[in-house]
Amino acid sequence: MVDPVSLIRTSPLDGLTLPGHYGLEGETGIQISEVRNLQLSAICSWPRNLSQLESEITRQTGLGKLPVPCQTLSNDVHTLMRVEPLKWWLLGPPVDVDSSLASVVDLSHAYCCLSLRGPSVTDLLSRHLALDLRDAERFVASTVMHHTGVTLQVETDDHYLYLPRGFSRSLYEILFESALQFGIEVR
Amino acid sequence: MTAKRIAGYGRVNPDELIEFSWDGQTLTGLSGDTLASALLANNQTVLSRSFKYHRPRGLMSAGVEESGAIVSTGSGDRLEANVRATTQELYSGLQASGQNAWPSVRFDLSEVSNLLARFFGAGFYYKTFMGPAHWLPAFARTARSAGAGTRAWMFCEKWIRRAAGMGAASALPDPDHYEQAHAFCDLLVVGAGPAGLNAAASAAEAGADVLLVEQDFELGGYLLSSGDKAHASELAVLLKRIEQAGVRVMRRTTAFGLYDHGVAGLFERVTDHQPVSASVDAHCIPRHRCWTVRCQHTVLATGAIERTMAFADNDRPGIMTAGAAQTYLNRFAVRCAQRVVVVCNNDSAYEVALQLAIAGAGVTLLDARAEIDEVWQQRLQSQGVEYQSAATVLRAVGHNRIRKVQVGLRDVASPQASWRPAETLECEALLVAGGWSPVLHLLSHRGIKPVWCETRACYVPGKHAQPITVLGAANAVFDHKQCTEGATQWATGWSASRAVSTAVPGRLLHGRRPRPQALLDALPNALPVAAKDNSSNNDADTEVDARMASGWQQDLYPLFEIVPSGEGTGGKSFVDPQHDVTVADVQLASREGFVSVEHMKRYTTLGMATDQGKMGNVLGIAVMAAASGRSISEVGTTTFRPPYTPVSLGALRGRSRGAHFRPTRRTPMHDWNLSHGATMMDAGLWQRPWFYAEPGESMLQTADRESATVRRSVGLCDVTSLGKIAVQGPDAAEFLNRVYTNNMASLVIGKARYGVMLRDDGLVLDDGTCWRLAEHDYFVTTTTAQAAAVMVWLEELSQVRWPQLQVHINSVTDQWAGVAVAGPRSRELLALLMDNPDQVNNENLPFMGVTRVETADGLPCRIARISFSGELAYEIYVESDYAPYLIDQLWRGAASMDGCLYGLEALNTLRVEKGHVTGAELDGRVTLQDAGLGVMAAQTKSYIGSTLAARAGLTDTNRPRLVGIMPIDAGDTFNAGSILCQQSDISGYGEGWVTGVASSPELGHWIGLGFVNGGHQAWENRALVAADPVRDRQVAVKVVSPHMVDAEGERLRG
Repeated sequence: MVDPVSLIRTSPLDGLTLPGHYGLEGETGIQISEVRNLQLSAICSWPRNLSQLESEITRQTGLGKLPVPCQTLSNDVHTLMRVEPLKWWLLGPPVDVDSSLASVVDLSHAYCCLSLRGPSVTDLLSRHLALDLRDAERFVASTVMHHTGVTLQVETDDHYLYLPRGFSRSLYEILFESALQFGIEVR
Repeated sequence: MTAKRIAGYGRVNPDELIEFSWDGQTLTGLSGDTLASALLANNQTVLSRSFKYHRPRGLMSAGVEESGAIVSTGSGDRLEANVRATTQELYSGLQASGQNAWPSVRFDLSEVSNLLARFFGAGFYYKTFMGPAHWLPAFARTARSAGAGTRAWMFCEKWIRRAAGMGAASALPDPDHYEQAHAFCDLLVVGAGPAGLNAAASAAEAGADVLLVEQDFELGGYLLSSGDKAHASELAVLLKRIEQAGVRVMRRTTAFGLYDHGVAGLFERVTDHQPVSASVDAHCIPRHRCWTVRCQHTVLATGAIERTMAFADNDRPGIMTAGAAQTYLNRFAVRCAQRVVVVCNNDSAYEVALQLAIAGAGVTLLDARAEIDEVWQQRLQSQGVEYQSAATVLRAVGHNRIRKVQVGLRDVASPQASWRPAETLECEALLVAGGWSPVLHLLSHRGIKPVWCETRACYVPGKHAQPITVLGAANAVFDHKQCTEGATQWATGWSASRAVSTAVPGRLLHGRRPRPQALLDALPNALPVAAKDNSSNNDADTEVDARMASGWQQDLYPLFEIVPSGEGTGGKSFVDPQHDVTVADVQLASREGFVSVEHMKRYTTLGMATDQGKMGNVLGIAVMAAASGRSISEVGTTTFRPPYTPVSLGALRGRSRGAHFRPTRRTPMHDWNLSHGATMMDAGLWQRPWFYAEPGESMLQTADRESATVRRSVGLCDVTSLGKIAVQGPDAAEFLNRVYTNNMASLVIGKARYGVMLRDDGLVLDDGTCWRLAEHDYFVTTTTAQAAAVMVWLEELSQVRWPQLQVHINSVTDQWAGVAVAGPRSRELLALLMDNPDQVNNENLPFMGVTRVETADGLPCRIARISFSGELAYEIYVESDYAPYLIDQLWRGAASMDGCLYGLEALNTLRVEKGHVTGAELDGRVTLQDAGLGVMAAQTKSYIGSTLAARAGLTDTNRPRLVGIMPIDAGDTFNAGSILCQQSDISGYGEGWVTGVASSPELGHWIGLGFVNGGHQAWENRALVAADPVRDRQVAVKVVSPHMVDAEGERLRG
C-alpha cells in the first residue's frame, strides 16, 4: 500500500479529465473530479467473528462500530462502508487483522474514484444507476452502471463513484456525455 | 372543409405566428398549436392514405388515438415516419408530409387498390400466398414451389410491401442522442386531467412524493378543451396547488407500460417540440428519454377515448369524434367546419353542438336515442341547432372530403335496431359521439382484464389486488364533479393510511423514509363506484347508478354498427381505420370459425400494432358479438400490450450505441501498447494487443517474427486480462481443494500449481493457476474468457453450497496488471530489474515457484515462474497504477536483448506449438481426458464434477481427443473450424474438427490443434482431410501428438 518513493501512480483517466467547463453554457450542474491515490481495502469476515472484528476495527480506526448494510461511517482518517452483508470497504490506511478473523484484500488500484457534486448530480446519476437516492446520506450501494458493477458512496453533498479500473475510461466517457446537458466543471 | 380560426377562443397565441411546411407548401400556425390543429386551420383535409386501400384520410381525433392523420416529419437522417399529427407540437420550420401515397396524398395512384378491395378481405395474404400457387407465372414457380410453402409470398412480398404499409423510415444513421433514466416516487399519477391533478395535489399536500406524468404538453386534460370558463379557473388553482405541494411533473411523457413490482416505463419526448439546434447536439441533449420508474402506488387517471360508430364510408376526411371538434374549437381556436352534422348516442355531444353553434357553425344533431331531454331541447333551440331523435347516419358521401350524409331513422317501437334511409344532409364535417372507452391499457399490461359494463357500454377495470388505483373517466366516471371529488377523496384516504403506516415501528432503512409496502398494498384499489363494479363484475348494472356515474341526463343508447334496413348502402364500414379493418372483415372471420377474440384480432389485424385497441377494440368486439350471436361480455376483449403509444428504438437503447454500444475494458498498459505499435483486437470486452507490426509487415509475418523471437530470445506480452481472484480465509485450502481436480491442499506457500475446474456435469469449466501466497491467502488466475464465469461459480459455491467454510472471494483482476516474460533470456531480463539478481535464479524461483519481491526501483511485484509458451517464462504482476512503469522498464531490457513485444497472434502460435488449450478447445463439451489433461484428475479425493465425469459417455476411449494437425504437403494451410474427415467420406460431422491454427516458424509449416475420435494414436500413419465447406477447401492432413514443440518440456524447466 505504500507507494514506492520513485514512482508516481498513474490513472486510467490520464489525459481525459482536463480541467475546464464543458457542456451547457453558463450552467454548472455537475462538478467532477478524480480522487487520485486511492487507499482502499476490502475487509471480509464471517458471522461468528463479527463482534470480535468490530472490536478490532474500532480499535484500529477509531470508528465507533461497524456500519450496517448500505451505511457508511467516517472520521478524519477512515471511512468504512458496508458494501455486502459480510464485506466492508475501508478508505484510508489499511488495518492489520488476523487472517483467521477476517481477510483483507487491497483494492487501491482496482478502482477509479470519481467525486461528483452539484445541483444536478442525482439527476445525472439517475441516468445510469437504478438507485433511489432521495434522502440518501451516508449511503453506499453496490450497483450496476452500463452493464458494469460499480459502487456509489453518498455523503452529505458529495457523491463518489467507484469504477472498476479496466472499465473506468469507458464509463467516464458515457458519464461525461450524459453530463454535458447539465453543464460540467472538471476539476 | 371550411375550418376557420375563431377569435377569442383557445389557448393558442394569435400573436405568435409559426411557419411550417406541409407537403412542400409553406403554411402558418400559431404558438400552442399541434400539427393537426394547424393543418385543420389551414383547411387541409386529406392528410394521409390508408394502410391497405389507400383511401384518403383526414383528422379523426385530437389525441394519441389518431388513426387518420399519420404523417412523416423531418427529412434526411431526421425523417420520422408514422407521426400522429395530433400529438406533434408545431414549431417553426417543422417539415411534415403525407405518406404511403404517390404522387401525393391528395391524388394517389395506388388508390386503384380500393377498386380491388373485395379481394383484400380478412385472411387475404394467407389464402392467396400460402400453399399451392398455380396462379403464379411459370418463371416464378419451380417444381418445388408449385405445391406448397411460402414461395409465392416470397415472390410477391416486395411488391406488396411497397404498395401497402405506412411511412418509410430513414435508412441513414440516426444523428440524435437518446437516454435512459430511473426515477422513484411514493405515488405515480398517470394523466393530468381533473382526476389526476386532484389526486396528485392532495397526495403531495399530505406529504407524499408524487410524480405526475402527462403525455400532452399541457396539463389539464379535459379542462383544456371543455370550453367552460369555470374549468379554466379550476385548472389554474390546481396547477398552483401542484406547484406548491412539490409534485414532480413530467409533461410530454407517456407511461407506455406497467410492469411487476410497481415499475412503470415512461417515454419522454424531450426535444421533439422544437427545431433541431446545434446546442442540442453539442450538449448531447437527448431527443427522447426512456424512464424506468419504481413507485409504491400507481394512479391511473388516463381518461377515456371517444368512440366512433360503424356506418358506410365512416372514414371520409371531415369525419371526426365530437370531442375532437370540441378540442379544436376550445383549445386551438379552430372551428372544424361551417356546416356540421353531429351524430350521437349519448349526452356528451350536446355541449359540442351548442359550442359549435355559438361559434357560428350551422349544426344538425342526430341522436339515436328515442327522446331528447327537454332541457337540452330548449338549449339547442336557443342556439339554432336542429335536432332529431331516433336518428343516425347511414352513410357518408364524398371522397377527399365529406359533402353530405344520409340520415337513417329507426322505429322506436321496434325491438330491432335497424335503420331506414331518410333524407340527406349537406355538411362539411360529421362529428361522431359513439360513447366513451376508458383507457385501461396500462391495467391490461398487468394482466388485469377489463369487464364489460352494459349500462355504460364500456369496459371498466376488472378486479385486482395490485397497488394500482384507477380514477376518473378511466374508471368510467364521466361526471366532472364526481371525478374531482372522488380523486381527492381517494388521495386523502391513501395519504392517511400512509401516515398511519409510517408511524408503525418497523425496519429502519438507513437514510431513507420508511415506506411500509404491506400497509399500502392493503388499501382499496379503486373508488367506491368502480369498486362495486370490480367486485361484482357482471352485476355491475345492478350495483351502480349508471346515470349518476356517467354524469348524463339520459342513458347512453349502445350503438356500434349501424345496420340499414333492406338493401345495404354500399361502402365500407371501418371498425379499425388504422389497419383498414371493416365490419365485413370481422363478420367474415366469424363465418370462417374464428370464435376467440384473440384469434379474430390476429386474423383481421384489428387493434394491432400502434392502435392497440384504442379506436377499433370495442367496435370490433361488438360486431363480432353480433355476428356470432353472443354478448360483448361473452366475446371478451383482447389484451392490450405495451407500449401504449410507440416508443423510439433509440430511447430503448439510450446512450448504449456507437462507441458506447458496450463498455470497453482497457488494461493499464493500453496507451503504452498503442504507443509501441500495437494493433488491438477485442477479446470479450477487453482490448488486447493483437500484434506489433514493424513497417511493411503483414499480420502473419509479424506473428512469425514475434513467436520466433520468443523462442530465440525474450518477448513481453500484456496478460492483464487474465482473471485474477483472491481466495482467502481459514478454509481457503479446503475450498480450493474441492474446486480443482488436482490436489490443492498440498500446495505450499510460495508455490503455484496449474489447475483445472470442472462443472457439476464433469465437463471442463476453465483452467488456470493457483498461487499460495500465505497460509490463508491464495491468488487464482483464470482464462480471460471465463474470468467472470469462474468468479460467479466460486461465489455460488462459497455462499450457497458451502456457507460453513470460512472463505471469501474477491476479484482482483483490476488490482493487478500482468506481463508475461517468455523466452530463454527471460530470467536474464528479470534479473536486470532486481537489486539482487539471485532473487529470480533457479534456486530461489524454480519452475512453478512464486515470489513477492521489490524491483530495484522499489516496485512491489508478484512473480510466478509459469509458462504458456513452453519456454522459460514468468508472469510478473504489479499494482495496476504502476503497470506502465513496469512494462517500460521491461521493454528497455528486452530491446537490448533483441527481444520483442508480442500479441495474441504470436501467443496463439506458441500455445498451438505446445498443445496448450484455451477457450477454443475448452468449449464446454470437453472432459479432462479429451483435452489431454487426464493426469490432472486426482484419484484420492472428491471434487466438483468428479462423480459425473465418470459417466460411461464421458469415459469412452473413442471420444474426440486433443491432437496436433499438420498438412501432408508442408506448403498447405487449413482453417480453424475445418471438419476432419476420412478421404473416402467427406460428409457430416466427420471424425473430428480443427480448433486453432498457426503458422509455426519453429516447424517451418502450418500447424493446428483439434479433436479427433480416439486421439492421435488411433490415426497414426493415416491421412485425413481438413474439409472447409464454407470456403470450399479440402487439405490433406496428418494427425500427430498435440505437443509439437519440445514435447518433453525441457525448455520451461531450464
